Amino acid sequence: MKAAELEVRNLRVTFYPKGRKVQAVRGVTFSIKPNERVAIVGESGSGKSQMARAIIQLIPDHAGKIEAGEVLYDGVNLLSLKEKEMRSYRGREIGMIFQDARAALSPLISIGNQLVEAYKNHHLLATHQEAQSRALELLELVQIEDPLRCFHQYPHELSGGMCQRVMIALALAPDPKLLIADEPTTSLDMTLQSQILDLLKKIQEQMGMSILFITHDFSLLSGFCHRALVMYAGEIVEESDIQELFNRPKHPYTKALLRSIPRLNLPKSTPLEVIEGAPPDLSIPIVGCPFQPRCRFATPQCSSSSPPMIQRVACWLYDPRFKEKYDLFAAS
Amino acid sequence: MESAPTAPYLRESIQRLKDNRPAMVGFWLLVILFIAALIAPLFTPYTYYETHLSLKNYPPSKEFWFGADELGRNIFSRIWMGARISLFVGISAAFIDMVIGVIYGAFSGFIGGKTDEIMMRFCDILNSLPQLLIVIILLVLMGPGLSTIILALTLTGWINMARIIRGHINQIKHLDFVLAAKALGASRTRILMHHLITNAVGSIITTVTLTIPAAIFTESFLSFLGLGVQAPMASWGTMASDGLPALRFYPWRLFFPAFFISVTMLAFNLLGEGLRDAFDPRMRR
Repeated sequence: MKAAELEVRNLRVTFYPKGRKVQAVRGVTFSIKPNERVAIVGESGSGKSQMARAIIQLIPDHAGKIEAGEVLYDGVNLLSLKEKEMRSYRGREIGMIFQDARAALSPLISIGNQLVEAYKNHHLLATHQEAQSRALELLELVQIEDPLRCFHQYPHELSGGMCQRVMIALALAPDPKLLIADEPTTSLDMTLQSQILDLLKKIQEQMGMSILFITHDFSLLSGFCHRALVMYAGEIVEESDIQELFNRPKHPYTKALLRSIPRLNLPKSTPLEVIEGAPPDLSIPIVGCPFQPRCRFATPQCSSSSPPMIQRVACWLYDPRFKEKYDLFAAS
Repeated sequence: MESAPTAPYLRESIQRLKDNRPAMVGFWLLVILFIAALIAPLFTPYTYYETHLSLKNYPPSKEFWFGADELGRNIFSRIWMGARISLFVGISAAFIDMVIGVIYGAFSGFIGGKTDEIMMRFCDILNSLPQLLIVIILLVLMGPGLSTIILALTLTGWINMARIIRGHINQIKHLDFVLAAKALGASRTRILMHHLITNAVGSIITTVTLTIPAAIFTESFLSFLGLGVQAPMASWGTMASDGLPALRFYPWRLFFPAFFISVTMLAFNLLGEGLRDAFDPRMRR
């Protein structure tokens, strides 16, 4: 199976809750190469989930809309497709794993039938038997102990971890080339988190697809992803290979975030570092760098114009004019 | 469970229903009522309409098992004649309500927005017409009879179903599993038919089982006012209202119709409850 390439250009998503205008995603550009595992990291409300949903156009009409941008999937701009054409991409080309697997499974349809349906949506000529054996294969693939039993069960009869495995199987049923995993482990406990991630990694390597992994948890990234994009206030502020991200974070936000992770090897009395302030209100238009009010190294430039991507980071510190500030930042 | 995977939903639901004792009691009661309504009149030589004036208000006896009414008609025959009418009216009204209500409500709830608003306001307008007025107009236009009653019951009866389904669909259509189905490439029709209506099955069944007794009651009420089935045709409603004034002297004239109305209501409610549990796997123990 040939994996696909995804390119997102200047994607903007705006929501209209109660007459207000909330710019959830404000011009996001990135790409995923075939067979790559890319993470999008950001705190709650940074627009990462909405960005992911916008890729396959799952933003409900009444709530918000995609204002601008392009989503190029193997060269086809998905945003220019009609709803009916888009349907053949959803699931078949781009699969999605949801955060709360139990809620994402239809409560009154057995696991088996949901898998059969997911397969048949895109394999119109498949017989019921084919779809069933495929479903059982998938349940086995996601390491469910008794696939036949699970086939007949309903979501409420499964544990959280099982639900997430079923969710993965469901996303894999139509053989997608790109898998968007929207916080797939958030509702699970620690041991299960690593099991599910290992499973995803194994399946990705085995089936040769790309994964866009969305998370707020830095600790999940290191073993899992090739590359990470840090998102803040609806923008991508830094793009980095995973080792580099941990060793040499470039954006002040990334650096501050990494510092605020509690560590066991520090003396007990060391206070936990926090980032002062709160993320900006996205219903008010943002001028300049969104992180500027919380940034210790902010320059006058930061509050007046938004930083361009310099060396894969959106920060004025990397402009030669602010060398002094940069040295200060590098030394911190 | 070890057999090859087949669509197990219906089979399992039926099994759950069978395991539910009260529901099965209700089910068999209804079966008995249906069979009795069909064949019981054959066991007595007296028809429901012939009068025996010498046997006015005759108590239950070997000849007249349930006694006789004020015109000396055999209550036993009349009960089963009334059962046919009541069950027929109740079931057909509930069925028509269900079909119209589910389609209308599901469509309205699923589309949402302005369409939903307009469709629901139409319901409000229709619902604000007094039912009795509609019945009387229909009677004038069509003349009394069963079809008039059923039409009168369903003309506004489906609104209740439509509202309940619309509310239910509206409530669940933004849940994650609907989004997930969409993310898997399911079409809108498929989402509506397969995911939303399936999930509304519990409320559909509950509403239907409540509509049947309600329709039977309404039919009785209309008959009581003289707008329902016409003499000599019997219905439980007319028989109960005829028997009411004689309660102190000839209690069997009220007792039998009232008893059968109660039994039928009870049976429908037990079965309805059981069906709802059976079709909702979350109820599985």
